[in-house]
Amino acid sequence: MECKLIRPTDLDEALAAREEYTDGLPIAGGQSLLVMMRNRLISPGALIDLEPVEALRGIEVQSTGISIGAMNTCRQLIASPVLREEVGVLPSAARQVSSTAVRNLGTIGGNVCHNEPGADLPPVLLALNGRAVLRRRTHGREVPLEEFFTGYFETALEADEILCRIDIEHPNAAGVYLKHAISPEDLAIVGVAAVVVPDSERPGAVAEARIGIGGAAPVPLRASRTEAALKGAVLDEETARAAGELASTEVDTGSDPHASAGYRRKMVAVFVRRALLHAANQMMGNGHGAA
Amino acid sequence: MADDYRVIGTPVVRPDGAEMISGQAVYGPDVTQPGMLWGKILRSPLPHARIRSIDVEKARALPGVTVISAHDVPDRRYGYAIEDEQIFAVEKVRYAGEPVAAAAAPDEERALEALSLIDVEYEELPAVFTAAEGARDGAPLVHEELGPARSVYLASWNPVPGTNIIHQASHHRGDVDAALARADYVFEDTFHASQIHHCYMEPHATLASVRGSEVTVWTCSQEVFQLRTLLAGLFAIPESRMRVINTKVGGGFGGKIEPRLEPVAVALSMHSRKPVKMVMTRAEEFTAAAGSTPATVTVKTGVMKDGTLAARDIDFLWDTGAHAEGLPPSNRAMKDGNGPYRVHDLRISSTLVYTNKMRGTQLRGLGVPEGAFAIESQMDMIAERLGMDPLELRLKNILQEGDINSIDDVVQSIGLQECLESVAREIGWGEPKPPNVGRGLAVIAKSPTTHSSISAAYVQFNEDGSAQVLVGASEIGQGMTVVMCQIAAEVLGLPVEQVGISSADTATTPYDRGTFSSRVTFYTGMAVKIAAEDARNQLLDVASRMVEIPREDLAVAEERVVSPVHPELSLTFREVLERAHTSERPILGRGTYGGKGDYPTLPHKAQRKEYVPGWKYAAQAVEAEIDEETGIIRVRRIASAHDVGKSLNPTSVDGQIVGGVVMGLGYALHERLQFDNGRIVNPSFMDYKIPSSQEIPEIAPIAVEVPLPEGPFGAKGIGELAIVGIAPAIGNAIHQVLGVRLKELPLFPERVLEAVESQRKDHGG
Ligand SMILES: Cc1cc2nc3c(=O)[nH]c(=O)nc-3n(C[C@H](O)[C@H](O)[C@H](O)COP(=O)(O)OP(=O)(O)OC[C@H]3O[C@@H](n4cnc5c(N)ncnc54)[C@H](O)[C@@H]3O)c2cc1C
Repeated sequence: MECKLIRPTDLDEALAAREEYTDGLPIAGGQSLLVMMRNRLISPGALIDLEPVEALRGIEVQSTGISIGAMNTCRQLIASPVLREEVGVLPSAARQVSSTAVRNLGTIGGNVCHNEPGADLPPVLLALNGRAVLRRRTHGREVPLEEFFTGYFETALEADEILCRIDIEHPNAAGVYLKHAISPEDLAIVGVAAVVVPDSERPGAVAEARIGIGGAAPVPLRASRTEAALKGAVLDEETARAAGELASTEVDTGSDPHASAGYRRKMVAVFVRRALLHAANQMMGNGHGAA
Repeated sequence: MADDYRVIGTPVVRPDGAEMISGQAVYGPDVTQPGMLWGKILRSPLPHARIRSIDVEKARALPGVTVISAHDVPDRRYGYAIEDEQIFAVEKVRYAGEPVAAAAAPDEERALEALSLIDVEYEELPAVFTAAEGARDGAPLVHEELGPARSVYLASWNPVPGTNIIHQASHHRGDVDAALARADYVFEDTFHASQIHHCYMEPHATLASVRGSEVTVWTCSQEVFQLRTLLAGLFAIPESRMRVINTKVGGGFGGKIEPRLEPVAVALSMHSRKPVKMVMTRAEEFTAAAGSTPATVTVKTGVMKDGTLAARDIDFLWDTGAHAEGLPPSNRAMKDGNGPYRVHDLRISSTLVYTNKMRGTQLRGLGVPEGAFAIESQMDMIAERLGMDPLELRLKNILQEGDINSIDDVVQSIGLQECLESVAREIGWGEPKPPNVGRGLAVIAKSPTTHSSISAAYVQFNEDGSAQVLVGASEIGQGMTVVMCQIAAEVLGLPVEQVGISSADTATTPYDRGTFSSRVTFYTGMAVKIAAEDARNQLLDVASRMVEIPREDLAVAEERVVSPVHPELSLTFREVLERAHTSERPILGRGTYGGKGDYPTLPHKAQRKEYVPGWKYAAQAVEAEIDEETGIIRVRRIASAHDVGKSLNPTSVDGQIVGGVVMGLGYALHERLQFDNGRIVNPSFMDYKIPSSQEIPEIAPIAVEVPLPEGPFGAKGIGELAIVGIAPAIGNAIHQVLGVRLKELPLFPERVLEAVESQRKDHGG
């Protein structure tokens, strides 16, 4: 089957092409898309190359948070001084994505739009209150990532839309991402991101703890009941353990060749506990910033 | 004899290294021929089904396409040991993945399109998916008739007609039952090794070209001569018209021994009258090529209070899938099943069962890994019960020089104790360690390949005094070519760069049984050494006539003929060759070598004590960190010591050890083909995990050198053993930390955790 390669020079052209080629798909790093094509899981009629589109690049600090262009590669996330300084948990998760080759080409936008179970960036971006900034030719919209990840390999992205940026909150927080995979370059069996916001009034307590979980379930999710239970808590061993147990009941785990649903559930408990304690330690160590 | 070799024992860089790392090497998938077509196979989607009808008419209507099925090919069964296979399924399919039809077309897309137009109507049949199910009375039969066996196997072939048991073997010495009754303790445990895949980087790739009455097959094979015999027989043409040329082989590990694409490619080429190329996809590799032959192993060991092994009864149940390529490992267990231990009263039995799955075949270690996991795990269980150090228990019972081994071979030139002591030292056995860190040991042995293990070599001098080696063995990445060049160079007094080599082309190189079972360095190496000596002697004969000095007073050194008696003599090889090529005759050395020794199951072998050279010994030790909460095992260090006789090329030896250890790590921790009703559900590297560079621990390869007098410069084989002991050693390390014994491979986190939890339950926790 024929597959056309479209190379737009700017976002408007890309959006026009997106509208025109109804059987087309944007291609970013190609790390997931080309594998899918090769395995004949999809056969798009056109590929719209986002590589030349300047508007999808850059990492900008804004008053409310940080705006990350969809075409930033994992390698660029790792190398960004701003991210390292402000939200170390994101580059730290990017560093845990697969191998050097995949990190050099795979983008944050592609990672999020592909929404593969076990991908490393979604749980972290969820815990950072990330929002997907989407555009179609005529207008744009913003979708909180919790609503963006709709199903197994499914997102809220419409067939004529492009994900332009991901905006995350400027957190005064500590954050940790822990990954459990068969081999370090695999998708996570369980990946847990914990972001804790210190309570400025009560030293040692957390105003808020946000937990993103990937891998365990078909769709990455926020452990919202656990988060609610942790509001204002002091994160000691006991609290963290209880939080882990609670989080494991929030996840609708599944089985695959790598692990059973039961094992995944247990690992959610372990890794949520470990991530929270880790983040709490970090918070006590340097107040915020996250490593 | 201290080493006064020039070339032997030095880290000569392999001559094919540069082309391999620069991407110039021509592997199977790289071969092309003008006008060639691409072939693709239509495979059964069902594990067991009657074929009601095959309709290829729509597919044949496509322009430029050749389509064939069982009607279009010889109605002949084939197989190296048991002839239980046909090119395409006849009447019924026996596993999901079995070839049913094939198409050749100018490009792969068109060939696939043709396959999609073939209609096959199946009627599903009840199936068996495990050896235990298959061996049960009244189980559905995978093959209604068993056999026939190729003649070389007839003597020891023992099927059970009317069942799925294609072979049963048993080796019995002494009075096992009485010895077990006398023993202070008796241990009985059952272990299971999963089916793994060879995971060679290069997929199977074949190009077949039929021109007139000549058939040429380019393929990546471990045994070109065996393959030629099989193909010639299958298509009823003389072997002289069937030429098999080996491409560079990107890894074999036992998976490229028996035919895969070759019969189909030849048939497609015969029908299309064009060269036909075929390359397997990775999914085909995982679902239709072959895997290891998995086994359930029950070991009963009688032990005396002082730790002496009194008796052993070992029972192997092998699952060979739909074809009996598991026969060699199941037979090998007769020799190797007991490991390198002194046990007089011994019984080993082995049952090979058909099931409706992709076949099991040979895989690096040839049945030794499955047995060693059982034996070496149980050794630690015994040590624990006796309150003995596992190292001490092994030292007490391992074979020593002069012992009689499990099959009545007399043990000679064995460096096993030194191997064991050196890995223990290297891993820090007995030294303090954190509570979450465990250390484990294993000792292993493998018998030589004796059964028709024959090799031939030519060594020819070129006109400029350089030399050419011709061998029929396959270079499969292991570095055979550099070692053969070193052997010839050492004998001929040439720098190694002056020796060239051609290998594995049935039309131009002499016969060799092929590359498997760690046999090439020893057997092909000896053939090369003998051929080189022959060539050197012929060269000295010519020189002797030229300078009128008796041959006994002449020698070779640095591309010259010299004489200790006449220090002034200096004659270059080039001068001698000029004489030979103008007024005498070309210099062509010839060497042949054959193994001796037999299976204990053969009647004439029974209880006959003999010395059989070439047994291989090794010891391995691991240190692993274990996370009790998650079951994650992080192997930190591995030491692997091998009695190589003589390390002909230390770089190659290290490479074989490190590669084998890493493969053993995958076998131990991750690798298994997973099935759902006979279908493989993880046929990709995303879902079938092999170790990645990021998780490979520090590895200390150790070569112990106890020379083998019959081997080339004292060398033994090294190819396989490094895979064998890693799994039990890790299992032993896990036990040390968690107190749980895992009896099923692989040892992946979930399984480790389950074992911990069930132990807690047992202890009422
Ligand atoms: C061997 C391997 C191992 C991997 N391991 C991991 C891992 O451990 N952790 C992990 O997180 N990921 C892993 N990945 C996935 C990797 O991170 C991918 O790169 C990523 O998921 C996709 O990014 P990409 O830029 O390559 O996207 P592409 O492959 O180009 O695209 C993926 C999908 O997203 C769509 N898309 C891309 N960008 C946009 C956009 N801006 N707007 C709209 N749609 C868009 C495409 O149309 C396509 O459907 C692995 C991939 C491989 C090949």
